[in-house]
Amino acid sequence: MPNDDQWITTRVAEARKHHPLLTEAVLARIGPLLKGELNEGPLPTARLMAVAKALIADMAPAPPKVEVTK
Amino acid sequence: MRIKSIALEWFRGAADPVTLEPECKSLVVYGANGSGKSSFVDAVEYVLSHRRIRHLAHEYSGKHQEKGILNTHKPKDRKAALNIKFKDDSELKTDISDTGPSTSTGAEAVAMDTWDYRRTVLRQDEVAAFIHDTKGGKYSALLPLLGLDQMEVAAENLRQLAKAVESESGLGETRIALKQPEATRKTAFGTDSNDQILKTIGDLHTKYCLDKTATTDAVSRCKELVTTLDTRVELCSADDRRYVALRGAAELDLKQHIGAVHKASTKLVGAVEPLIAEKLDVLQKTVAFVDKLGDAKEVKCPACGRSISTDDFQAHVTAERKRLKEIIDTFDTWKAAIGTLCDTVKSLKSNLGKADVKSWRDELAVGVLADNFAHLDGLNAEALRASCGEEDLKAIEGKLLPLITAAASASKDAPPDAQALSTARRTIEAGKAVILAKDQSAAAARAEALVGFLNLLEQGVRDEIRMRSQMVIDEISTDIQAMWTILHPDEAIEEVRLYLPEDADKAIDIRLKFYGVEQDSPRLTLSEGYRNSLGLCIFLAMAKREADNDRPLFLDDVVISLDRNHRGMIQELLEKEFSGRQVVVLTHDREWYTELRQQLDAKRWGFKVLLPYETPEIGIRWSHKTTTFDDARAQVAQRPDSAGNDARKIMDVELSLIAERLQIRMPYLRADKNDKRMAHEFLERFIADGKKCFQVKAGTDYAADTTAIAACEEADRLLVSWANRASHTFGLVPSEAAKLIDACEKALEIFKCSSCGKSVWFADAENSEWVQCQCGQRRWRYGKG
Repeated sequence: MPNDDQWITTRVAEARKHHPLLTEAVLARIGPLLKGELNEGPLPTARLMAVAKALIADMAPAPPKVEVTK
Repeated sequence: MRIKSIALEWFRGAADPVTLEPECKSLVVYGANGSGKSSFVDAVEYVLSHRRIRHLAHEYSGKHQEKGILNTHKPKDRKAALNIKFKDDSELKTDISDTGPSTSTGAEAVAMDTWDYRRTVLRQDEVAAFIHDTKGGKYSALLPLLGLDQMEVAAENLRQLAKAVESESGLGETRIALKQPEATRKTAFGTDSNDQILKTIGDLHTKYCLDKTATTDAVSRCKELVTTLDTRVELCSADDRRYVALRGAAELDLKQHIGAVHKASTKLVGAVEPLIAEKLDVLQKTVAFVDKLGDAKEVKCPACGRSISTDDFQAHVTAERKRLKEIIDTFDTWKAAIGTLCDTVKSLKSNLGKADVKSWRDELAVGVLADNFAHLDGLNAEALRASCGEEDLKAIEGKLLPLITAAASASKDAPPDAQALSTARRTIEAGKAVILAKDQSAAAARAEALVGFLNLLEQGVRDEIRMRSQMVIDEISTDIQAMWTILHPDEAIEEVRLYLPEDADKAIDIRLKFYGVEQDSPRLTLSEGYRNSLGLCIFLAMAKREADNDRPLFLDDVVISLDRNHRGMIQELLEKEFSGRQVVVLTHDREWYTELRQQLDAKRWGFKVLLPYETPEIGIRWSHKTTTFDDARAQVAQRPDSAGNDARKIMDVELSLIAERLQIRMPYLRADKNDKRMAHEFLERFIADGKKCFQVKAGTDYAADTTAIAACEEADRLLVSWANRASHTFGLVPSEAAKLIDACEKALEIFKCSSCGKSVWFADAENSEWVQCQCGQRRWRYGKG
């Protein structure tokens, strides 16, 4: 089931093999979406666009880590 | 959760409160057309389907549906309400306002939200609609019943989300845009690597921007360089500035870009025209088809119908996919070539529009290049980008190339400084485009990965739906087949089952064997009655899956197109498959109602009759009787002849069934006359046989029931004289019709014991000589006539 943890974990692991560019942020966001609003009813266009924007933002490469020294 | 009662008040056909009270038993409700049966079903749908009734949806939607669900004659000071009471005494009360949505309270215990109306109620029109629907329509109708509609919603949302990501990230445009810098790069840097290009930019930055050594980011360096070079040009002499501008125009490789568009157009036309319309749609479907082939050795090509090996087919599809991808790539190249050409035209306009070259232009504009400048000034580069045809290309070639030649000629002797500035400017522009393309390419790769991920999830959900559908459908098909066999024993239509067509997604159909021949759709061979019977089996098979829920089933006029034999089998089906379930059967078929009333187990079944509808103000009303004589009574005043005819029809049906129960031996008649006997014939036999067979307890022994015989004689006498008159000469008066109805009703009452209230055939012992009522006060001796 798309709202089942096991199902989501398996699918996400499969997807990572095919698409190594996927970020942790995207994978973290898609789980709750699958368990929640994606199942509840057709998403309105505005909401679809908002989720799409958020996912695109999640795909942005993380800024280089800055080491903070005391 | 069984239903105790459903009360309606000014809802649909109801006026003052009227209550259907199954009292947790199963129930058969008879009512003539328009008597209000479906109002109770509408009430159930209304509360279970979030205040919506589907058959009203085409007329009223949202809160406006209130206009359709209220009694049209509801007084303003009266409220409309529903009250459904359950076995555990919980109640769901719904008040409906005249203008707005309704409010419901109570009955949390029954978890109304999880109670699917579509698994609870079956209406006649829905049976027919389902069978006649397309495979896709059947899929949509069955998916909720299979409990998979949420997954379908998820799959569709994922598909839409992938499209939204593609659109929001500008993936299509980026793919095209990425092709443009390739030509620019080749002209400016030849075969230099990215690192070499970065070094060139760095060197120029060091040369021209000595005061900005802190900038390391390549794009920022390019921006700084452009500003610095522009400032330097500004500080040059007027002649140098003119040289720079003209050189900028002269270095534009317009000819190559025109050639690129020509080349791309030729390739596109050659590749696309004969193929794209033909292949694109087929290929998309074929890809899905191939994915589902599994271990099949051979397959029938969905495109051409030929049978080929799976391996060949898969190789063919892979090659076609590659070809399609190449065509998409050609499209992108074509668009990119046009984009580059338009950018070049814009640059030319910009360079030759500068104030620094005005004197040069003015000199040439009075000569042979006047038209050329006019054409350049009139060109709209953005319009050209949207639509660039062969005529446009010819005009650009003919009018603009001479301008570039003239600019090259005028700038060939440019001072070295001006040449260096111009070259540096061009190099930086090209370098910046290359660097930005690198970023765009990375962004496109990320967006493509995201779209691919969402597509993969959608496919995963669809695979899951298919697998689960198959599993559930297999289980249901076993029940459908069993139910079909009950309804149609010994008939040559077998192996009725649902299946998922292999060549289509989101599709379900029904398969069966018709006289040994496999049929992929019931519409090919089954009559309307059989198709409806099949629809009923499918609904009941679905409902059976929910047996644990103990939720009632409402069957609203579902036997309308079945003949008497098959209708009779439904009673057997309900008894056999749903003996533990509360079933509410609503019918306008008087004959079937009578059959059910006489044949169903009265311990588990109740029987109710609705009075014919009179006016909206009076609303829905119950008859106090379980026979249907009130249908006839309703016509006594206005149409006494119809009332008399109805009374006889009721007697025809009732007596034929009683004769079957009491095993009355009727004289054999020819052909189908045996099935069309009239009440008079039965009464004659009852009167003749009854003198010996119909007995009433007298002390410790039994004696002939003379009262019963007298009632039969009186009914027979009036039927022969008055009912015949009603049929033939239409001369019945209201008082006669009323008396006839009373006599008929009284004759039927003799078959019920006045002490225990049970029929004389209640205790029907096998191999016994007689049947009797529960208390034994009345009995009928078999076969003694």
